[in-house]
Amino acid sequence: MIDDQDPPRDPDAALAGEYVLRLLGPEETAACAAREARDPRFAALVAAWRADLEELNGAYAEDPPPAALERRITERLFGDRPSALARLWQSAWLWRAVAAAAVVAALWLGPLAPTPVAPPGLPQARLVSALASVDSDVALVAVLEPEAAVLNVSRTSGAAAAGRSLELWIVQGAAQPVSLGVLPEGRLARVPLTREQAAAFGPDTTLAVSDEPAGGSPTGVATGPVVAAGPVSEL
Amino acid sequence: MAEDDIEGLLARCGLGDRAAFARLYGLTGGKLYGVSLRILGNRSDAEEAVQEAYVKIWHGAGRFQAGRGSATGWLVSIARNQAIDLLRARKAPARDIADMVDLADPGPTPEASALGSDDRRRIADCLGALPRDRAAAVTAAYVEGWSYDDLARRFDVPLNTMRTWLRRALISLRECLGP
Repeated sequence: MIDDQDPPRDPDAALAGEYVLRLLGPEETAACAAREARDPRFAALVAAWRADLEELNGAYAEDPPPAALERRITERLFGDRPSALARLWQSAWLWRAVAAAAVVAALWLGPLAPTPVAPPGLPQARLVSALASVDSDVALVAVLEPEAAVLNVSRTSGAAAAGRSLELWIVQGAAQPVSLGVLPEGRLARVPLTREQAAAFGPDTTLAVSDEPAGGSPTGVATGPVVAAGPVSEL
Repeated sequence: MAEDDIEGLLARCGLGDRAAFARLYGLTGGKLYGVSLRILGNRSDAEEAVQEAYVKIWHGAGRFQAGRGSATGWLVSIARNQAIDLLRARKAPARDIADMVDLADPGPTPEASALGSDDRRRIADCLGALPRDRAAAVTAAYVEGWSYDDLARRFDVPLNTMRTWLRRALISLRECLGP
């Protein structure tokens, strides 16, 4: 039996435990959250408590939630206002960005290039993704150039913070996100896709931009917060 | 459910993938509802807590980092915190201590005996090394979401005594579990 009459040796160990148990009042809880964000030693104590106490989660039985709950949650998250995409259709900068992306494509092909004809099997409609987020001012529009398997990306607002990079990701179907590389400082970029990525580019594709260390994620998976994201639609 | 699946779905939610969110809800909704129902004790409050939890999960998914804890543990902690905050806001009476069968039981708590075992010192072992009422107080604070007030009333000790008990119990647990 552990002697619990000893004087406390690490008050922070107890405080971190109380914080994870949610025993503290609102002010103390907020103070601990702030400390967790800036004090790595305290954050490690909190992480240790979370991981250790997690083993008690076996006490919670699964219970099927009422069927209407999922609908209420998705309506609240996605349905009670026009989607970011729907709002973007109505904004002037979208059309400027699409035009800019089309100009990039035209410049790339050269003034004398014949109008390209999509090879059979590749989608003919113009596929566009508008990337935005309520949490940041970074917004982009990406237009697929299917015949070249190139994504023309136009950054319409926001930029990487000093010493940071914005990295573009593509998520298709059930696959893991794949990096398309770090966005350049300029507003326009041509991003090559694989033929497979271009062929699968459609409603089941999501594009996203994350905030990463300069030069991009060192691990191959997004490490920073997602600052803009959006699904692909036909224009 | 496979932890890798949950982690992958969370990553995709972080990238704004709504289909991944639907699958995540399908896999974890029952667990999170179970957590909220246990803590809040009624269905309408539990639904509210689960709704708030999934809104937080969607917005915070991009910030989840796999570390010491599992992705499912992260989801449960969000639902648990949400349910406890709602419980405090409602000031609803917690269930009676008589519902806690483990208090009178000389064996390990039902939760503890249900846990898997491995070479690491697990929380169940370390709780088992504490005086029984201390272990029961820590377990009730975690699983039932009881506040210091609830704990002091249910264990019939002054509030400050309960705080001292619990803090000492936490320090002993931390020493037992290791850093």
